[in-house]
Amino acid sequence: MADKKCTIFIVDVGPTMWEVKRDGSEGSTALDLARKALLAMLEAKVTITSILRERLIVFGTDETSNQLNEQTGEYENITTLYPIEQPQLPILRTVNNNMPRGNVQADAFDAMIVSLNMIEEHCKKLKYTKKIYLFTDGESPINQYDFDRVSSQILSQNIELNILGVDFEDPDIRHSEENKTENKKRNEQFLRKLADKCKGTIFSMEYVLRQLSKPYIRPVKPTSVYRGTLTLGDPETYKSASLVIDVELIARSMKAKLKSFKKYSALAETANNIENKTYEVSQSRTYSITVDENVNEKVDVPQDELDRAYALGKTFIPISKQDENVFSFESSPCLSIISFIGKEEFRRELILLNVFTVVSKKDDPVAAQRLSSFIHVLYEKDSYAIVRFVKKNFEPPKLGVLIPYIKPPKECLYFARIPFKEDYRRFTFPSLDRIVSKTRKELEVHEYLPTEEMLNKMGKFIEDLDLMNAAIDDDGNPREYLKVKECFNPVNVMIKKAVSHKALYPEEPLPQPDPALKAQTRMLPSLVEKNKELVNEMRSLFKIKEVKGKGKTTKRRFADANVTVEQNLSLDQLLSNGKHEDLEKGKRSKTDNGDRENTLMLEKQEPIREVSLADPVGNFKEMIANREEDLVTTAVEQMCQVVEHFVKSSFGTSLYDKALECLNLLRETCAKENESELFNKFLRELKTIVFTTNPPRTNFWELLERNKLSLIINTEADDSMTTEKEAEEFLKMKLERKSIIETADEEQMPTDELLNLMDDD
Amino acid sequence: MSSSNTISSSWASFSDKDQDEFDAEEDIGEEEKMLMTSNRDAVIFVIDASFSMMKKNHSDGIDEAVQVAEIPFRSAIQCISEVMTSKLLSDNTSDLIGVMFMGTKKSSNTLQKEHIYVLHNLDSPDIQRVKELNNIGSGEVDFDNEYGSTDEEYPIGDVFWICSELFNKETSKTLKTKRIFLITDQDNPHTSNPVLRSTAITRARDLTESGIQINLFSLNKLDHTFNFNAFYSVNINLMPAILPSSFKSNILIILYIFNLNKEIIQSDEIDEIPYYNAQKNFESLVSQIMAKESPRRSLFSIPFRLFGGDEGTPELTIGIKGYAMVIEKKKPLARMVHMRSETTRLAESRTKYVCMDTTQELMSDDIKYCYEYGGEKIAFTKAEVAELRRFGQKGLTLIGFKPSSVVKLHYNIEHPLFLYPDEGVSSRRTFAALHRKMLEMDKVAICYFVKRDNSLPSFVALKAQAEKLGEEKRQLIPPGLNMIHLPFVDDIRPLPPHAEITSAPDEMIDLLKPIVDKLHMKDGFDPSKFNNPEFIRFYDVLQSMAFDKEIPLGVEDSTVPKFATINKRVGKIIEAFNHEADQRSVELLANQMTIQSKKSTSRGTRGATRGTNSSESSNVDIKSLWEKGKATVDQLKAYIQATGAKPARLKADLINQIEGILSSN
Repeated sequence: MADKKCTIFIVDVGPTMWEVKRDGSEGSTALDLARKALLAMLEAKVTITSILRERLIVFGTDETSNQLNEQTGEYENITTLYPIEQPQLPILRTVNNNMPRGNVQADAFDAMIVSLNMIEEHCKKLKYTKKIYLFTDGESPINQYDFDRVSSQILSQNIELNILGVDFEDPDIRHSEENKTENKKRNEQFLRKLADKCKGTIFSMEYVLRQLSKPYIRPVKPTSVYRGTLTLGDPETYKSASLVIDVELIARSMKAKLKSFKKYSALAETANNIENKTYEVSQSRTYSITVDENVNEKVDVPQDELDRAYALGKTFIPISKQDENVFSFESSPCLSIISFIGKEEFRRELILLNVFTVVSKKDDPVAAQRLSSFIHVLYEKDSYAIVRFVKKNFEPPKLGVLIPYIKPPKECLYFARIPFKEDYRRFTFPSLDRIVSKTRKELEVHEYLPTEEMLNKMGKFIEDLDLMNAAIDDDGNPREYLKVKECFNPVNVMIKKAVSHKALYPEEPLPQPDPALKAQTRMLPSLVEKNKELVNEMRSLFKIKEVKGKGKTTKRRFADANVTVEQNLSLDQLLSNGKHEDLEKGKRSKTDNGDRENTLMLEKQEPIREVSLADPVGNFKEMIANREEDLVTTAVEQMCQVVEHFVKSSFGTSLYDKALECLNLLRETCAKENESELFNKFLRELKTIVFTTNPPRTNFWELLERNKLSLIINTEADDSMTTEKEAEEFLKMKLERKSIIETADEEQMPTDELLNLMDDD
Repeated sequence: MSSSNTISSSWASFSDKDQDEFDAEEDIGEEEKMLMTSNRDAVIFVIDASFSMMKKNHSDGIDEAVQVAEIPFRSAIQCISEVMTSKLLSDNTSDLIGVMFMGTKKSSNTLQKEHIYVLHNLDSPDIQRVKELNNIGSGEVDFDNEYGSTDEEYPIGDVFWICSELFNKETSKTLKTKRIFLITDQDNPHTSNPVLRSTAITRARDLTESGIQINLFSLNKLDHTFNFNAFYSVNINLMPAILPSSFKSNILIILYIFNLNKEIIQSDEIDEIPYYNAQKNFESLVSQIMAKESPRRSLFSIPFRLFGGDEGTPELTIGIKGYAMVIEKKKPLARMVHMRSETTRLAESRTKYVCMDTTQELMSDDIKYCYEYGGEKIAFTKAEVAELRRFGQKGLTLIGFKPSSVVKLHYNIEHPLFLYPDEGVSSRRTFAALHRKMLEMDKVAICYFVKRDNSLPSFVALKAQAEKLGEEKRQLIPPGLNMIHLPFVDDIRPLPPHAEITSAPDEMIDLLKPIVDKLHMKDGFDPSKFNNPEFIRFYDVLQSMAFDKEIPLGVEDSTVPKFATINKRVGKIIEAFNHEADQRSVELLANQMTIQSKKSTSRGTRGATRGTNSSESSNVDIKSLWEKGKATVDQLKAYIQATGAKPARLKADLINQIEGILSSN
């Protein structure tokens, strides 16, 4: 259970706090600074779900409103603003917009006594973490008479005292002490004495603001995902001859996630006559099937007429959710060593997911000693262990690697998942430094091979852009730039910032990105400046042209054409895959496959799956741009048919332009999508068709020749094996009509569609 | 139907999960799907069904699988059934397979040719077809009656003609390859009929010219070894292979050739494809089969900004493509299907959103996204949320270089990606220079990475990967840059406090050390040696359900350690280590007790009030408690457990146990 916390914020709102505008801080007053700090502290708290009890007390107000005053008549000019409660938005709004301002100099100590009284009443003898924050400029006189009473109470109640003083002494900033009033000097000294006595802390407001400006990272409590044994051998069979160590697995790295957005009804926002709006959105799902392929119409079906099934080829095998456990097989929790490998033999890039720490069972020195032995063995042998890992009973086993980590006095193993055969793809790529000619000779010089000079320049480039000394530490010494611990997740920071901004200023636009975070996403200006010359030389040496928009607009699926498609893509579509990752993160036991399927199907807008004769270019582009589903191959194949159809069914040359347009698009796409071979193969077939069909379409080939539309060559796409010369010859060489087996090609299209098409032309 | 219940109950939890919508990276599933896409191949199996194929083949007795392979014809059918099944199980279901027999008594084909029986037209494999083949292969179907064999001479040319007809009919789908797998033991057809012989040759050549490849799988007859030169390899351009007697090998060979890419076949490297025979190393065959399964397709193509781009600075940008070589593959998803009509149909789903306040259905424009904050809902429009998620320009932006060692092993939060330059000459050359120098200098590039316009950003480290070649210069590891996603500061969790331990004494370490060498895995870790048992099980179950077989109990699980071997090699070492460790543990526990007792006195009142729940009780000084007669049962149990013994169940026994332990100390 999370600790209960009780915190009282005491803010000085007397005249000195807000009457004087301070130099150099854009005309803000001491109260503004205090508000800013308080706001930042509260913002971090409103998102916390654990039990917090907070209260705001201001002193220096013209009025008086506090419990002690009611009882005693003393303690004037102190106002309690909020009861002790979970901090919510109203308190933030007050601090931000309606902070009271008083014209009386009230006693900070009185306010303190009021707070102590409050804490005592609220917390009684219950277990609370108690804190008092005092925000003041120390100008108002303090009645020192109560020193002993206050300090002893703070100590006996175990309260953490924090004093945040405007223009108080700051180890980092040297203040000109001369400007301070006698009052302030005396009070500052006095408060310091109090802090010392009560084991409290005194900060300068400036320091606090600096600290609070850094993004807040909430510490995560370590929780173990596995408590069990690390074994070598089978303890069931070979008891004393197997190694058994009690261990726990705790995350070492894990993608930190913010609380998520929820759907919110904008309709409710505008509805007038509803009280207690929830703005909530409920969802339900409907299913539909296509009954007749020829009629593009969907019929809704009730859910209970549907079965949950898995596909095996074209066949569906129904398996209800309850029967899902037929797939499970017996396995019991274990972290069992399969074998060892050398550190050098392990490829780091095989690590599949996040990393866990393996530590011995808590407070178990025997397990610790055994684990330590094992860690040292791996460490000294420069080896890793390959393990089988089963988290829970009946969960499928996974493969992992154990890596020793020693940094005295800490010792542990890292555990990381490594791939099964199914998780690993053995792609091959052309060599980067070995070009073999057709005659099987290795080439020394080739346009793909960097020259000695290029290599030297690149070496210098790498050296000059070294980050290990690119930043400056507090003492002015160079240090490593951009360590992991300095990299905040900019999106998470932005979302937090935007939420609290929007809460306070609903009408304003989103806040601007933090300049410091923005700067981290680019090269340091100092490094840019230093290397301009070198880069200019490299540019001409490597013959780098401006990347002609390529990449900038290129999507994986499709270049140019899909820019618009992309924008039209609904956010839901962009985000709907979200749940997938959660499942990956081990929630699978709770949300089984049915849900995955549901969420996947969710919000899918009917995607185009057919390249029609009516709008082949549009359909094709859309299919290529489909990111929910890979329709590239399908689209290409269908486009091939369309082109073929156009060529064959053209009245004279009426459809040639259309065919050419499609073919051009097809070629461009295939080159980009690693489908060059498919295209080239099709073009070869098309050539045969063109020259052998009856009547021959030789003039279409001439059209291609004029447009220089030939095979995709190897410099255009790396999956093509065709050389430029081959492509040229291919285009030039015409086929004789000869007796190949007649392909009696039947019309695939319904005639009326064909007629429509002709009308268009 | 019970399934409706589960669905609605899944709805209940649905809205909770819906919250996470914005948190996740968008394309986990997409990457997977993308990599599963296939190229469509078409293969017609032509099996010789003449009498000689029906004669029992004496096995050499080496291979245990030969028993079923006694009759060559049946063995061939079983092979094809296996190949079809493997196609069913792979994600690659768009391949088309046809099956026809030649040399049958009966005939069935569109051209009305005799002795040719088309069993299956070209279509993607399905369970019915596999079942049918199984029935023929097992002899359940009376082949003689249904189809029959003949020794009459019939034109082999007709076989080729019918094949080309079958391929031609398949105009609705563009095929990547068209091939005929001819399985026969007849090496010299039409010896006495030169007309038929030359027609056959012409027909076969016509096929090759129209892009149809013939793969010949030869079987030796009992008394006659198949002679390629008698007819086939002399007259017809084809790819020959000898089918060995081993059943498993046959399947592998057929599968391998099935999955070979046409580009290889078409290139002038035909001679590089050897005659496959039993001597071939099947491990490598299998891995090659797998390599062909997933076509290489890039996930993204983005600019790699090595430098500048802002006004006044020179720009150095190249084009790169990204690939996922390592990515967790998930079990396929269940789908909702309608099975109540004649044809099973996949259902499409649509989600309806309803405003709870007005009970009106919401269009997508009516939906905003909110964040619970300080007890209120702070709402954002879709565009705003999209804007918040976007941070920086799409692409890869270089920030600088660091030594490789800075990328610590625990800096890993998701699967890596692989980068390779795009087709441009300057991209390729610049990339090659960068790649080589980074390898030489042992540096990594630190970059800022935004995969797509709507992707969440991250910092990444690019690590150069050297090309590694195996036998015959076959590429084992491709050259390129591995992209490792670096964690943000909040993605890193500190080491837990109990990682702080006292190092084990050298004696213990030295005792245990030999285990590493004794259990060393040769050649490092190779993923291809470990199939995911979850998938094996999944498909085992689906298959047995599809074929109405009993669901098997266990699963073939390659992750189970070889316990017997482990025991044989290191059992003694571990035994010695355990002995030493046990002895030391007594000492250790005694120490711990004194330390703990000191701690608890020095801690003062705060520590004392923390209470003694069972998990902490092993810290408590049992001895003193015991002597005072104040120990609880839980404390005693925990204490006994800590010594490594099993605590007794009854209190009386427990007391005896404790007395024994304390007196022995």
